[in-house]
Amino acid sequence: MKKKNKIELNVDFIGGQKPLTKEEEMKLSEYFKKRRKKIARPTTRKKELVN
Amino acid sequence: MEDNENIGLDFEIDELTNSVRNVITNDSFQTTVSIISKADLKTITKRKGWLFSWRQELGFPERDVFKLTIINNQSIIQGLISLEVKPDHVYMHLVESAPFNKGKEKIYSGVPGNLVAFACKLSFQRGHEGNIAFISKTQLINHYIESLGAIHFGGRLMIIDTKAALKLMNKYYSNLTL
Repeated sequence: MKKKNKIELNVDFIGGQKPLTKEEEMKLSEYFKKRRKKIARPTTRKKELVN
Repeated sequence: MEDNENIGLDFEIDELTNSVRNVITNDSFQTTVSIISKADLKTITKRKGWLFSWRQELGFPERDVFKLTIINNQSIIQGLISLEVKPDHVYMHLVESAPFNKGKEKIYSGVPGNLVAFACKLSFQRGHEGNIAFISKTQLINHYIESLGAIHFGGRLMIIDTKAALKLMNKYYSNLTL
């Protein structure tokens, strides 16, 4: 039987309430924009081939 | 409190379950996620052991704060999550388990994983393909990669993409149709 690996960390739950920097916001935005294009691209290529 | 200024989510995804589990009795309890009310704020204070100012979090109009509760025991908050729906993803500002669900003495396990899966669900519902972004402390990056399937985007940034979000969704919301 496969044994489940369980990762244990001895930390409590601490986070931050400060917003992202503008640079980080931009990086994320660019990344998701590229992802959307990447997902949309195969359909476009198919159409091009048909035409 | 340690250092709120040192930004970075620091929640431990200890277990992925479709409910929370009492670590002593091993009993599982079905959970529900709902938006918090101002009345809830009375029980979510630093004096009562919460680490963050959730009142402050609720004050940001662009953020929504949700609570995880056990069905039939809605008055006890098991954990909280603050989310912001951005134009192309959902940003996870903050996740915190209730004081009694922290550390080795926790009563219920599965709280943070449950809340992250909820964030993924929201991202799908808002047309963002399950995409989530959040910030991690350096020492927890690998933990999130392994436990959530998250991607280290660079620096403090982490991303949960569609594939990882679907996995989490299947775990927690297997009976849900999107």
